Amino acid sequence: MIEIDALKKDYGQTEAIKSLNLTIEEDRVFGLIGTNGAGKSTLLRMIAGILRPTSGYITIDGLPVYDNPAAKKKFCFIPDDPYFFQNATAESMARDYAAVYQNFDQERFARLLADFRLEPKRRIHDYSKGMKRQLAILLGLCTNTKYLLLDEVFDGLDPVMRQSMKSLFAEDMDRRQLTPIIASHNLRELEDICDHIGFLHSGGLLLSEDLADMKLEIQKLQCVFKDDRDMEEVLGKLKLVDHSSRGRLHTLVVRGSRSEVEAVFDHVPMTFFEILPLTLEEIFIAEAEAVGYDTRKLILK
Amino acid sequence: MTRANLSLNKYGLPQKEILRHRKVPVVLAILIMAMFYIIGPVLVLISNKGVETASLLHDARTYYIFQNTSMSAALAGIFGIYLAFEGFRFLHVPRQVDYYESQPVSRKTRFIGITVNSLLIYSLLYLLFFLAGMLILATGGANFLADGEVWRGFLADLFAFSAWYAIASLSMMVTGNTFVAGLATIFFSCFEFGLIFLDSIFYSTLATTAGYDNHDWLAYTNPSTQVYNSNHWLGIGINLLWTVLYLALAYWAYQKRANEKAGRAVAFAWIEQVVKIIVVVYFAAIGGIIGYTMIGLNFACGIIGALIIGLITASLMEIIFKFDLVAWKHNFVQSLLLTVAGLAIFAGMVWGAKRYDDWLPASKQVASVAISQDDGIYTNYYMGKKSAKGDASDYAAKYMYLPVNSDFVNLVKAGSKFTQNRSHEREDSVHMRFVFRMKNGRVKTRVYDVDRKTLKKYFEPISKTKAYKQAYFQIYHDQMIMDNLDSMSFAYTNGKETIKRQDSQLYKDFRAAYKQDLAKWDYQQASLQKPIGQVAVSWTRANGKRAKIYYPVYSNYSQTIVFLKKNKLYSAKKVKLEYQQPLDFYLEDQFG
Repeated sequence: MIEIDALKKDYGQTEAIKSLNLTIEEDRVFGLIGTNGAGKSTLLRMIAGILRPTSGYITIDGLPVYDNPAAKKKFCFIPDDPYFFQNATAESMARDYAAVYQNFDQERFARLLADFRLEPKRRIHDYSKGMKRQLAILLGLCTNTKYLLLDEVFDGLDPVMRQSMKSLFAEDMDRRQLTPIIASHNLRELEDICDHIGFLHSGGLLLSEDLADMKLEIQKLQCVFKDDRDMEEVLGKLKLVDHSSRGRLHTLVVRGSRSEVEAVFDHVPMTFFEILPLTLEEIFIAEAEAVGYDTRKLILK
Repeated sequence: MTRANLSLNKYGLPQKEILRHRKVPVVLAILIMAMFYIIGPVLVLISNKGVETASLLHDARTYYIFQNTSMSAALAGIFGIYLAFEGFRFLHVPRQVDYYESQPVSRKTRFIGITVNSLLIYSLLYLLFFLAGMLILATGGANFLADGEVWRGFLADLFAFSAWYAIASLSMMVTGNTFVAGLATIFFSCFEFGLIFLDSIFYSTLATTAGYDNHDWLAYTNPSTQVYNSNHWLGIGINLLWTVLYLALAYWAYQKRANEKAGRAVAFAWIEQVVKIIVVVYFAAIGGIIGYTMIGLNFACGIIGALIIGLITASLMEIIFKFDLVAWKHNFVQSLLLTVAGLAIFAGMVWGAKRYDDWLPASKQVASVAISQDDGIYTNYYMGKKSAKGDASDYAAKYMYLPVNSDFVNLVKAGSKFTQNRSHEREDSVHMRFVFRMKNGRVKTRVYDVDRKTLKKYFEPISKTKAYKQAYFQIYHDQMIMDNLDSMSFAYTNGKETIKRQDSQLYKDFRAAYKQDLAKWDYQQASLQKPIGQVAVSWTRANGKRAKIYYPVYSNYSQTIVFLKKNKLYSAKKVKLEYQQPLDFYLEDQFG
């Protein structure tokens, strides 16, 4: 478990992280979401022990992380712009990783390289941007560390490759209880992989919740009333988050469990009624507004 | 042994792994050292083919010692800086910082690992090639394996390397950019030169009576100059001290530095401020001095110079700190205040130099005085049992204790006035050094240009005293010659003909006769008359080198001439004045 307590990070006069408290549980995919400049990379680098907090604490399984090899053995950090040695090949980079991470799995790495069609003896300098990212993720996975810290790693990967990588994470989570912590500014990129979401905005944590819990409490539905005069009565009973209409078709995002929402519509004659799956973006907007943020002022991709 | 057992955290950073990424410096070191210690000795052997072993030995030894004190000393510095920059460059590149600093390796382990690796790369290769070179020369009969001087040179180079490495490592730690680290290395290794330069300007340019000796410019804080320290072991010790001190500071700075400073100019805000204060104040002061001296000691020009140079320096520093041309005006008020501080130092130096020049000793404050001239024929002085070489001022400082009388006071006053007037022609004056031993135990030295009229008036009476003569002529303190009579060589020349003898009794008789004649000597005579000949006495010093002292013989030195004639050393043949070389004297028309 990664515990963050009253964490602050200042860059001169700028407060990058403001009194942040957060707990990252094991065996789940933690998505760290935020706008550009929200403090995601700073937070991830502090978790990785690269940056020293101005104040507050970060512990990994009870161990303080800054300049502590015992804590750092528990994770591998893949930055948004991974570093490879000059003239290095995938094979030589694996040797370097193996020298540092004692449980590095060379055999699996060789197998994965073949699966992803990355040439082990080719200069990494000649790889495409996407290939470099794939290689960085494969190297990180093969370190067999408990946590994998990934900063914007899916940026630059095509959808097929993204899915392949996600399935690798799933495999490792299942096999060795890997806990990936993924920072991204792209909500859609993370919604089908994350179990838990932490949303950062301007250096503060907007919310931190299980995605499943969030989904249970928010519903998106589309409906067409037989008699439009019923609409006023129904909307009055719902905790409405968002409402839009096109002709007689109404799209509603409402707070409450599925059964509670269905109960409101039970006695109302409907031409059409359907509960739809929610996107992470819609959930976020709902939750953010619930804690008092005007999401229209937040720039989301 | 399993990989887990080889874990970094148990045994530190493996040298093999570090070395895998340092092939370029290793190859470079091999190439350059092979050039110095393989090709060089081979060329020495080839060029000495067929000659005597002694000649080869001399050439080979000269080559080896030359290598140690010049070429490889420079190489040691360059490699020290290069290895430190190459080893810690990752701290200046954010991507590399992410890669290295997220790894389960403590900063302590990484620092020690890289430092040990750098020291080993250089020292092991150096030792290997040094020995290989010796082996090559040994095949030709020149064996230096037991030559202490050669090995001392080896150690001097090695510690020059380690000191440069340590300085460059600290520079890397306190900066976030390698170009700025280069500037920091220059700062750390040259700041003492800056102080020496300021000191030199004060005494040689601003003050007129200091008689600033050419400073040897050996800065204690510059590892390369310590290779040339006359006390070789002290030089080695100083470089060892810098190695330890700078590495300790570099380690401390590494522990404290923030990784987000990678790519910035300076890693510590307080260092940025300290460096700006020192550099701007210093260059503003220098700017003031340049302006002041450039246009006829004009103080207004000094102020303009200080303002221009100080503000330009401050602006450049702000640009470097921010890597932004527009940043030149940042902290302008601070820059202006620092420039004013530099201006104040410049003004203080001008005022201080004036006070220094105006100082005149009150006769009741002075216990004794020693006077010496830089010119004249008495330039070779030897002192002590080992016949250590000195000059007239060393000799006078040791043996001359003249009381202060009115002639002295007048001589000093006139000398000070004449010297401070920079518009005077100096050709008709004599450069004289005065060492005032004060009653409070302090010693003050002044050098005055004294015009010949003043000399005749005030110095001539002093030159006639026994106290002056005994501390001016080497013959009164010649125990080192008396102790080495067996190696003594005696020669007399009139400029055209030289007669040389090796007879220890000659000197004993000569000194007795010459001392009697010296009673007739005075400064006026020495200035008006040209000697008719010269006795040269040489002997072997403790270090094996020869020493030589010249004694001019004037026509009125009757006792000496009798001695020379008696021993068939004197040539009766008269020689024209122009042939009487290399004797020095004051021309009659220059003496009032």
